[in-house]
Amino acid sequence: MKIWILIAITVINLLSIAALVLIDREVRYLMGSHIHILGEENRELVESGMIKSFRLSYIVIICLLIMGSYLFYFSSL
Amino acid sequence: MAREINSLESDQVVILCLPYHWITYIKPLLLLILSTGIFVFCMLSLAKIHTYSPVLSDTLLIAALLGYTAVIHRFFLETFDWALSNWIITNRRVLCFRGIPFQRNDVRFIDINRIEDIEKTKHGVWSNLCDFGEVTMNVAAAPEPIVFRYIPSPGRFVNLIESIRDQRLHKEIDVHSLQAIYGRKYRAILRGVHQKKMSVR
Repeated sequence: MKIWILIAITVINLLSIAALVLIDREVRYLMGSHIHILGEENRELVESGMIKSFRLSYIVIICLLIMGSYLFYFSSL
Repeated sequence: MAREINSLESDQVVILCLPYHWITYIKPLLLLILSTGIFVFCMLSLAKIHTYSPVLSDTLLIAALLGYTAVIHRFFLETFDWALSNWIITNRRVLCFRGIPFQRNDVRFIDINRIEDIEKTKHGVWSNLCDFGEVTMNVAAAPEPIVFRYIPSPGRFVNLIESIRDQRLHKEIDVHSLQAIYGRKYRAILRGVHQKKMSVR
């Protein structure tokens, strides 16, 4: 395979990491603004285990996709 | 950017936190499953295509990776939208949160005492089968009715708001029926409200 494919894969993955970081930051901001409105005593309503697991699975899936793309590239050399 | 909103008054107690019905999550989930299938098919057929046209194979690899990455980000945006958008019912207000990262950060406060009419509608087979629907509220001084869509158990939702408005929530039976409908998660909150009400009386 050609080098331009490796460059394209790297660019896509870097964009993907940037999107992940920005979206996660925005989710934390939205959670914070909801906590600000509802008060600290209702924090558990906003910071439910569901959102934590969604955030974790988002990070894991993006990491798997990045690793998979490089594995695919190097295995097909 | 000024994005500050005042928090709840200290005498307000959260009675219920209600997310959108799970049916709204079906569409992005189906889209993800379909996209995963197409992506896997593309990856498996790359070797065959490479024998005929190496350029097409390379282009397909990049297009498939780019498309699938975009679909995954879109899916998680929808997931966070679902997880961060909910209705909070307090002893004085209904709060409607709608939070889609980078797209929407809406908060609506509705004073329960200013609700004049409240109506639920459940149209269609899916709506009645999965128990979700619309709740329309006519609020005093509001130019048009406020419509909440995809509310789970809309009948119970309306009953709860009417109970709060008519100050009937302190009755033991209302608390028990709410526990039965909305599950254990809200039990502690409901018990807290009930005890607070009883102590006031």
